[in-house]
This record gives sequence, structure tokens and C-alpha cells, in this order.
Amino acid sequence: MGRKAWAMVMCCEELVALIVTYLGRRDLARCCSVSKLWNQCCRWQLAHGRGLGFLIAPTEGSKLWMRDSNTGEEQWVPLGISDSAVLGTCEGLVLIESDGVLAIGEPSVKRWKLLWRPRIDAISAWLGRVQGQLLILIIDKSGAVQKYDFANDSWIDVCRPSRRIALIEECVLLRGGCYRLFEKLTHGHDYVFDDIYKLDLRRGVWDKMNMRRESVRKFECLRIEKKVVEWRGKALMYTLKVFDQEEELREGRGFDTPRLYELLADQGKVVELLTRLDAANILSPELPEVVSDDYDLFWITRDRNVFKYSVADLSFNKLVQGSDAAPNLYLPGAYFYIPDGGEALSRNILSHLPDVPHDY
Amino acid sequence: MVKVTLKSAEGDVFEVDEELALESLMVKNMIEDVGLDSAISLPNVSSTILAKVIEYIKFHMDAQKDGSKKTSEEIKAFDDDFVNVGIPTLFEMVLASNYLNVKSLLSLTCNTVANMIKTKPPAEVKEMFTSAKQAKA
Repeated sequence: MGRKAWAMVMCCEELVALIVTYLGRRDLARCCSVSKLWNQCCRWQLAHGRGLGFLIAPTEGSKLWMRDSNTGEEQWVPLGISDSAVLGTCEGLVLIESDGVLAIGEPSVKRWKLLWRPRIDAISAWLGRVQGQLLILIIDKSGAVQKYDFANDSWIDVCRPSRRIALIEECVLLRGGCYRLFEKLTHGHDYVFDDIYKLDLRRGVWDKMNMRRESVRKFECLRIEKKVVEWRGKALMYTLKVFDQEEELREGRGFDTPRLYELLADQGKVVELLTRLDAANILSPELPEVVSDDYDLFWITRDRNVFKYSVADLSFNKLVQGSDAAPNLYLPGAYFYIPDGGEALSRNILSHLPDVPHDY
Repeated sequence: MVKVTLKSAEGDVFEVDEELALESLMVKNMIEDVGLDSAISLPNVSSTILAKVIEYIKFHMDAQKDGSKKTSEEIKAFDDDFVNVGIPTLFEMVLASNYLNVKSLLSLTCNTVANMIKTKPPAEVKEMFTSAKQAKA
């Protein structure tokens, strides 16, 4: 009878989700190995706007709003800075910026810290982990790069002045390193893809990855919004539009067919992650949010639909029917999702840093 | 005091105060639909579990009444003792509280199941789910 009753509990996703709500994050992470439970709960919780992380969005009054999606508890950044913008997220941490002031937060433990004001006017900043070390990088217009020194609460120059490159570029920070997608100005005043460069923090230089010709060609066609997400050890690049129009025509795909590419920067190439054509076509091209908890890959679209990528049949499966199913996912502005995945949360990364913010 | 008759899966009859019966949203809806003339049949709840649910609701109703001298420690002790049952009974109480829509009991029992998972290594948790899968099959 016990097994039968438990099987019946398992059949009811709401009951499972309720049980999981009481588990807490550390145990959720431990239960990752129980894939059935994890899948079931993760799917349910994402579909109901109660995923395993934090939703963060700028709100009126120029504050950051965030909701702990495990408990539903709302949280405000207690730093008293205005016009905040989310610059990046990594392992349950979030980096925000306001009028040149940077702050890092760990919402799961409600710990926030203002960083010492950098000496350069950062136009871009990134947060991530490189070779096991947490890294915050900022880059200014001239191409100067500084990294935050956690131990001394200061900024250190990491790019030699002679090796600075001032260009409009995209930057992605992956587990393996910091990569920039450089573009160069042509005589026709157009920007075209140049190559991917990887920052060597020790030498203070950007190393060219020498992308293969066929991959460069794909990037040349890529002048549109794209997202990069890490999933199961892969760096995935998701684009809504064409990489290659000739390829589009040859394959009979539509211009805005969503595609998934794995970015193999160190090998100098991108490779397409196969998706079933009919399945890919169901994705709305309207500003999707790509979410990965490193086990599953989801798309949350602005109209609150949730899709899950299936490794088994290479398809995108819609998990939510109807806009009322995920009310908490709807936010008027851009928002970020911090999957807290479990392991990172138990680290309490910022615990060794002082709580008292700087007096600017 | 108006009485409500509840009939368990085995056909056993439980006569309870209407006030107590209304704590179950499911029973409340049924009373609104069919009235109090006939017994309310609860085919998904066994006599043992129904008796437990009634005991739980009765205790908490008494505890919430004005003049109740029960302290929060006493209430917690009751709850702890109440869910200190075998796994089969606990799972059945989860199902019953969900079916009867008694939110506080559902919360208590689900929390207890979660606590059970917390203290078990992954292999044992996996065994629980494997067992469930086998039972489902």
C-alpha cells in the first residue's frame, strides 16, 4: 500500500512540487541524481513560474525586484543605488551596475556588496568563473580591461596598453575563459565579423582563436540578437535568424528559424545542434529567455510559453498551455533568471566579504 | 449543532460537526451541492485515514478557539506526533489531505515527506522512486 500511495503521489505533479518546495535548495541539488524527480519538479516549477532560482527585473523607482522562486519571497537590493541594470549572472550570483558603481549580490543568502568604484568608465562588465576563480571583468571604450580583486577590494589592469583593442564587440564569459567576438570596420563603414579572441589573463593579451572559414562565414551573416548559454558542459549559441542564407535555401528553412549552435571557440568553430525542423518552427522568435540549469534547457518566451529542449528527439516541447499558466514569468521589462542549480548555493560565495557597503 | 455524515471507502460512517466538516473545502463544496440530507461519500479515503484527518482538524479547531490554553509548543508537539507514522500511512494522508483539500494538513504531511527525503542519501531516495515506478507499473 505504501508503494501504491507513493506512486499516486508521484502521479500528481502538484504534490511533488509541494514536497519539493519544502526540500530546500541543498537537497534539491542532491536530488539532481534522481532524474525523475528533478525532471518532474523542474518542469512543473518552471511552468508555474516557480523555477529553481531567482527572477530579477528592474522596476519602477529604479530598483531591482527579485523573487525567490523557491519560496516566492520578494527581495530588494539593499544598497540604495538607483537606475540599476543587471550586467550578468553566474552560479547564483548577480552583478549589477548603477551610474558607474558596481555591486555583486548573492540573493539566496541575501548578501550584497558594493564594489570599489573602478578607475575606468566601464562600458561592459561580465561576471563568471574562469579556471575555478570567480571573475569580474570590466572593459572601457579604449579596450582597457580590469578585473576585480576580491581579496583587496580593488581593480587590477589585466590588458597591456599596447594590446588594447577598441572595437564594438560582443563578449561571452564561459567556464573555460573570456571570449570576445570581435567585429572590424570595413571601408564601407560596416562592421563585419573578425574573429573570436580569448583573454589570457596572465599575459594580458587577447589571443586570436582563428575561426575556421566556414564558421566565420556563419558569423558574417550573424548581425542579429543572439544568446549564449551553458548547458551540460557545452556553450550554446541560440539565434533566431539565419546564419547562412544559402544554407537556409538549401535546407528549405525559413529566414527566422530558431537554431542552436555549440560554440567551440578553442577549436575555432561553431557546430549546429540538430533540431527537428517542425519542432524548431514552433518557437516564437519574440525575445525568448534561454534558461539552463545545466541539466535541462528551457526557453521562456515573452508571452509566457515555456519550451524544453529534448535530447531524445531533438525537439522543443511546449510545457505550458495558455498565458495564465505562468503568471509570475510575465514581467514588463527585460529580466534575468538565475538558476541556482544547487551546488553553487551551498558555497555561500560572498560570505567572506564584508557586508558594509562602501560610502560613496 | 448540525451534524454531517461522512462515509469512508469501506463504508464506515463518521458523524462530525458541520463546522469541522467545512474545514475540508471538498466536503464544503459537496454540502453546498447536495445538502446535508445524505451521507457524503469519500471513496478515496479509508476509515483509518479519515479518522486521522478528523482528529487533526478537531485538535486544530480547538486550539484556535478563544480561550484555548494550548501553546504553540503543544500544537507543534501534536503535529510532530501526528505525522510520526509509518511511510504508508503518511503517503495516504498526503493523498487524503489533497483530495479533501485540507491545506494545513497537506502542508504538514508534504513537509514531513520532504524531511524524510532530506535525511536519506541519494541512493535511498532513488530507491523510493524506483519502488513507486514499479508500483505504478
